Amino acid sequence: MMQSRVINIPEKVLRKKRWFWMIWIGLTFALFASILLAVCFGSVKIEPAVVYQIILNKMFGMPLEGISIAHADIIWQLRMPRILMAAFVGAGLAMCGTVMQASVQNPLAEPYILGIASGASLGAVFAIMLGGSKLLLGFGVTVWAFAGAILATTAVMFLAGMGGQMSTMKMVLAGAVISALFGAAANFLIYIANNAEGMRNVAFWTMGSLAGAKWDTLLLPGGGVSIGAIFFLLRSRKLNVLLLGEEAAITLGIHIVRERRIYMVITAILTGMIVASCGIFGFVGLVIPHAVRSVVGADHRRLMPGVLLVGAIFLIWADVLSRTLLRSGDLPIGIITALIGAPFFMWLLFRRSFNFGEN
Amino acid sequence: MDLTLQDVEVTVEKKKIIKSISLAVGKGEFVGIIGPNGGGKSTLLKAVYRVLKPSNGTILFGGENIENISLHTSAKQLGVVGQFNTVNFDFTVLEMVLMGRTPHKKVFHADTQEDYKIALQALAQVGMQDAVNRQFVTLSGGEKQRIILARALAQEPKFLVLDEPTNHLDIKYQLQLLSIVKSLGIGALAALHDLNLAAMYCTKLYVLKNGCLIADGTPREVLTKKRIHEIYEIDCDVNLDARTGFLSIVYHPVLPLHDMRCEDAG
Repeated sequence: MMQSRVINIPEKVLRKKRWFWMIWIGLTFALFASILLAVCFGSVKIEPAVVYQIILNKMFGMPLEGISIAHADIIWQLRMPRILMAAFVGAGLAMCGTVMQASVQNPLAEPYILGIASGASLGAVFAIMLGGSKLLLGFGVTVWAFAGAILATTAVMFLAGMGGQMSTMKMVLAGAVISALFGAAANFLIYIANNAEGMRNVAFWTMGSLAGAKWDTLLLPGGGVSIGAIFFLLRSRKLNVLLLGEEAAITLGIHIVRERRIYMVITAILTGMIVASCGIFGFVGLVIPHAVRSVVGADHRRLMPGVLLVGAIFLIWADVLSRTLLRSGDLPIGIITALIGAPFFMWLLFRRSFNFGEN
Repeated sequence: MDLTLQDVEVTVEKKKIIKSISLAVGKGEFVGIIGPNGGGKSTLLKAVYRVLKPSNGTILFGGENIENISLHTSAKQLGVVGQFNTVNFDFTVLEMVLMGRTPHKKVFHADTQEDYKIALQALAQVGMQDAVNRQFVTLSGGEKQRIILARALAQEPKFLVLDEPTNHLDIKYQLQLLSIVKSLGIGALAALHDLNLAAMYCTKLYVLKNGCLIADGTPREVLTKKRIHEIYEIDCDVNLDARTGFLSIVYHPVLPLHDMRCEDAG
C-alpha cells in the first residue's frame, strides 16, 4: 500500500509542473503582446496600423507607404527602445529584489537595501549640481550615478564585514547607515549649490524616468540583465538553499558566504546600471517577487522565470501610464510604481494565507 | 563512515568554548553527547558539521582531514538535523525534503524521478507522507523536526549529526526518530538531553561540561547516580530495569525555588 502511494505522487507533481509551464508560456505571450500594445500609446497619436507597418519595416525591411519619417522616428527611435528598456529594467529590478531577499533571508529586502539608491543619488546630484565643471572628469550623470552606487555598496560590504563575520543583519543595518550618510551628503550638496534648475533635475532623477532610453543606452542594462538572468536562473537551486539560512545551507554543501558575496556583487552592479540609466523607482524589486511568490511559491526554479516576466510586463505598463496620464508630459515613473505597488503590497500583507516571515 | 576528533578546540569570539576534546565514532555506532546547557554540545557539533572551524586540533571524517574535503563532497556523506528550522519563506514539504538532494546535483541537473522517489521514501520513513503538499511554515514544531530529518535522509548520508533531535517531539516520535537513525546502521553523533533515551539508543556516551570531556563510556558506565549528580547537580535513582534491560533513571525533585528567592530579597 505504501508502495503505490509513493509512486502515485510524482504524477501529481508532474501535472503541477505542466501547469507552471503553461503559466510561463502564457506570460511570455503576454510580454510580447504588452510590447506590441504599449508601442501604440503616447503623446503623439499614431494609428496602430501605421505603428505595425513601421515596426515591420524596421525589422524585416517591409515597404513603408505614405508614412511620415517623423512618425517612424517616434516609434522606432523613441518608443521602442523605451519599452524595451522598461522590460529589461522591470525584469532586472524584480530579479535583483528576489536575489536580495534570498541572500539576506529577509522578505522585506529589495535591490536598494545595500544603499545603492542613496549612492547613485549622491553621484547623480554631484554630476547635476556641478554640471559642466572640470571636477566631473568629463563623465555624465550616468557614470557618476553608477560610481556612487558601487561606492555605496562597497562601503556597506566593508562596514558589514568589519569585526569578524559578515552577518545578514549587519549588512541590512550597514545599508541603513550608509543610506543615511550618503543621503545627508547629497542634501548638503543640493543645499550649498542653491541651483533651482539643478534641483528640479535632481528631483526628476530621483523619481525615475525611462525617457532617456535610446538604442545605444539600452545596450548596457539590456545586456547586463540578460546575463544576470541566465546566471541566476542556473542558480535557482542554490538560491533555494540560501533561503534556509546559513547553517542549513552549509550542511547541504553550499559555501554560503562565498555564494552570497557573489550574488550581492552581481545584484549591486546590475542595480547600479539600472539606476544610473533610469533613476530610482521603488516597489518593483519588492512587490513583484512577493506577488509572484504568492502564486507559485518560494522555489526559485519556478519563481525566477515568473519574476522576470511579470517584472517586465509590470514596468512596461507603468511606463505607458507615465507617458499618457499627464497631457503636459511624462509623469515620473517612480510615482506610478509606488502608487500601484504600495496598495498591492498592503493587500498581500493583509491576505492571511500568505506568509511574510512570522511563524 | 567513521568520525574522529583529535584535541579539537573551538573558539567563538575569543572565548574558548571547546577545550581539547578527542572522541571517536566508529562505523555504525550511535554515540551520544550529554551534559548541561551551555556545556558546549552544540558548539562541538557545529565544528563537526563545518559551520564553525576548530581553532585547534583535527577532525577526521572517514579517515581524511575534513578541512581537505570540499563542502560539496562532505554534504553528500554528512547529514545534519540541527536546531535551525526557522524558514521565512513558503516551501512545500516536498520541496523542503527535495533540497536534501542538493549536494548530489550539478548546476544543470533537474530533479529526476529517482530524486522524487528518495524524497518520498524519506517522508514515508518519518511518517509525513500525507503532508507532501503542505506548506512547511504551517507545520508544528515536531512535524518540522521530522521533515528536517527526512531532508537529511534524502541526502543519503553515510553519517548523521543530530543536535537535540528530539526537541518538540512527543514521546512517540522521539522514539521513532531515534529508532530511524539507529536502523540506518550508519555512524551517528547526537547531542541528547533525555538520559533515559540516551541510555536506550547510544552505544557510547561522552559527557561534556564547561567545554571539557569529563567522562565517557557505555551508558551503564557513564550514567551512575554519582556521575549524574556531578554533571547536573541533581539527585536521582538509577536502576537496571530487569524486564526491558534498559537503564531507568528517576529524578528527585529540586528544592522549591521560591524559598531561596525570598531569602535573596530579604
